[in-house]
Amino acid sequence: MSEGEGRRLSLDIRRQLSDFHLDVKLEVGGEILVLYGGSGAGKTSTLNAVAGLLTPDSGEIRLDDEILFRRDSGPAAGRSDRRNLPPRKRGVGYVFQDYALFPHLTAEENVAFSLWPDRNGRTRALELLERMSLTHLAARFPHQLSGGQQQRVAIARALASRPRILLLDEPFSALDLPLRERLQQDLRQLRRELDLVALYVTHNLDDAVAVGDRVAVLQNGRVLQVGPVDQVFRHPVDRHVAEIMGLRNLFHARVTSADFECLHLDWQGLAIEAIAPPEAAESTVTFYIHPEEVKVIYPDAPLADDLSHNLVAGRVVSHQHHVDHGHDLSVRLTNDQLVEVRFPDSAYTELSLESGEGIQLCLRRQGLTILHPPAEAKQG
Amino acid sequence: MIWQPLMISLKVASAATALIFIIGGGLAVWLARSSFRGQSVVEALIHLPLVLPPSVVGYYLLVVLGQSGPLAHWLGWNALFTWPAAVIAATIVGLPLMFQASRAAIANVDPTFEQAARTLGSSELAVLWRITLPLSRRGIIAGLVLGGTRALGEFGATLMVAGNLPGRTQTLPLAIYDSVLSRQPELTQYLVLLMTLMGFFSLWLVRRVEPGRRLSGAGAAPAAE
Amino acid sequence: MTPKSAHIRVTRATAARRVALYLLAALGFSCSEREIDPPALTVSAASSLTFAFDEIIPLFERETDVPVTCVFGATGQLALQIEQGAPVDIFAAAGAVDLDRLAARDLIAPGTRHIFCRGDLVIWVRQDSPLHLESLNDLATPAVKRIAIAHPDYAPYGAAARQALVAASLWEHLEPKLVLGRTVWQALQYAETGDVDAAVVPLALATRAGGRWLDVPSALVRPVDQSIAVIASSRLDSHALEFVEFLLSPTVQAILRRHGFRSLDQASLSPKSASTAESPS
Repeated sequence: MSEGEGRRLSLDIRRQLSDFHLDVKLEVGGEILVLYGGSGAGKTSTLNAVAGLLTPDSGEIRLDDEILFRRDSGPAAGRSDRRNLPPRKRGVGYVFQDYALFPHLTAEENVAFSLWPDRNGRTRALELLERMSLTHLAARFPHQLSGGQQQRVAIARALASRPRILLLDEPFSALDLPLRERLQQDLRQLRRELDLVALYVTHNLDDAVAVGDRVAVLQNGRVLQVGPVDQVFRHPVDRHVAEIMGLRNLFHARVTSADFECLHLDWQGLAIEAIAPPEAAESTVTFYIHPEEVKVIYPDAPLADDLSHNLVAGRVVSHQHHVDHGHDLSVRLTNDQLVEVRFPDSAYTELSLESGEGIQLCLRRQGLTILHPPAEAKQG
Repeated sequence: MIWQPLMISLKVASAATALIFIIGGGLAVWLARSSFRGQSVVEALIHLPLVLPPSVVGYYLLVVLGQSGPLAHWLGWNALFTWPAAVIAATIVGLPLMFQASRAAIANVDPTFEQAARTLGSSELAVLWRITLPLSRRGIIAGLVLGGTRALGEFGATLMVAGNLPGRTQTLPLAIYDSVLSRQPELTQYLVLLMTLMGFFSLWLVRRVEPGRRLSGAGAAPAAE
Repeated sequence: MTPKSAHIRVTRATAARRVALYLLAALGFSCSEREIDPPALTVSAASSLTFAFDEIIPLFERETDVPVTCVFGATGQLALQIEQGAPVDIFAAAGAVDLDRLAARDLIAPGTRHIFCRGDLVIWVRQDSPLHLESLNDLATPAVKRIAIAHPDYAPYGAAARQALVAASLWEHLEPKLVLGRTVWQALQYAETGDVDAAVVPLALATRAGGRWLDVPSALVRPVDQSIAVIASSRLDSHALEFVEFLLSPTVQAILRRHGFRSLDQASLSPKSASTAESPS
């Protein structure tokens, strides 16, 4: 679950905010945990609570053995149980959304800011700037730097005081793709080198996948699911998480029967099967299938074993070809449901994918995920 | 005849400006970042000398500084007709201007900078000293120049509490008043010209110091890579 | 036009009309006021006459049915206002300098200038003052920290005070202790509130102010003339002249004497005085 030796950040906090009630329980080890969700989900508030910029109403924040924050609610709460370390004593490095580089200081002075009384601060600042390949810009002011340069200065500044926790709030959102990818790599490497606990906030799925070891999906101030990025992405625990992740192909179906092997569903008239634990008959489930798990059946090719069930037919509604991820197809099935299909460029043969063309698809049983109602939020 | 009131004016105005800086600056720092019940009352009190006629301000000062006031009662010091009284009158009328400008400048500092400084190890005092004040410096200085100039031109309340004692409390505005009454038109003209020039100079200073470029704001537009 | 914007238009028009109406009414009031009341005689009087005129003017109004508005101030300041065209009918000045200047500019109606009394100077202290002044020299003691006089440059009694102190060879010693009031009235007030230890003021103010006083010997300075004159631009000549005559009448001269002035027939006699050791009359 968590890598690295010993480093562990425990979060268990509640706070009433104007738009929602924050209620977050997380354990973070030596890793990058992505806080993922839409705006107003509570991601930045969680970061601020860890940093000490936001005081929760109750709960505890602990790093290894040290209690950063504690406040009990309820009749048993005593004065001595309270603790609220100010930000400067928590050992956090915070990279803000707009970098927040001090405009009246040079890049070097910004980075050296946390080391102020120390005369060696300059040396360390220059070291860090060198690590970021920014030495030649040390004497420049923030408004004289490009977005990417500012970003790296901001990271260097956050790392200067050797923090134990690194907090990043949408750090790469304003940068273009090649730069973003480079910095994402840099970040992962830095975290490993410095053995940091890192919390990374983003609402961009690609960002989350590229950067995170694990992801926590937030909505309305609550954690809906935590787990390895891959797992949460492919197997969201309920409809809400799936929607937040921007998943496609969410459908409802009625359970017809269940046996030890699979679940039989009546999907708006089509009979399909899913590999899933038994559900009560006649109950309604929501299921999801990743567009890549919907396979196109070629009329003259033999069917592979795993493509011998869940065969459905329909007509092409739209077809788009993208350079980086192949073909995106939208198909209206005979049960009137709209399915999204994605397949890579290495097609077996050319298919006529004109709008209105008939097509056969297979919904891979293994890729068909049954979602549970939101009452149970699973922890990965 | 010009030299004496000029010297006294400069002496009184400098002392008043120093007081305005300390008191006005302190109040601006306090009130820009706090919110408590009764805050609007405190701020109204600070702004009162701006809207009250000088005679009213002078009256209150007379009561406080005079023989029947608290200073004389507890410290045995009747401050009337002394140049400290002129300093106090000048400070009170210049304070609201400096306070307003400073508070606006401080409130304009993006709180994110202060948050960042806190995570970087700064105590509240350090945040103030290293971030808030430097970033609002121009506004504060502009306010100080405005307040100081207003202090320089104080007349009504000063006349009431400092008297008009040549060589001791007769500031330039008071000297002008006297020279008119005692019919010395040449002197009047010189003094008036002097004060006008000083006024122009201060306004020029304010324009120079006032924040022109946008330095505040965490998301300032960056240069191209 | 939608109903709402029509409503707004109507409201704006009504508001504009109302504002115009109020403005007209205000103007109307200010205009009409002058027509309703009979014209008042405007008197500018030296502050030394404050108490005396408070008694004399109501008497005049009762006898003649002519309303009088009186403004007190330092003679020099009042003269300046008249020079600049202040609508004054009568000027009751202390000293001669300012009237001379006005006369030189033809601002005085010829033949209307008369001296109507004279005033002496005293040194006044509060009733509860710890000071017991026997002579002018006592002012030089360290117990006396501040002395108020009217401004010598534009208040004749102030000039007289300076003259007296110079004549007594006390001016240089006392000058650092002096507080200059805009008028003799203000000098008196400074002493009344205790903000100065003593004030050099006209006897005519001292007699009604409570407290104790010491005469300034007439050897040091001659009494200050109090003159009356009609301003040339006055349109109430007849009433103004009535007032001048009134001041010169025996009844009023007696009143002036009671206030401490020297009436015209008393020019060389010393006035009734009270030393600082006795209670006031």
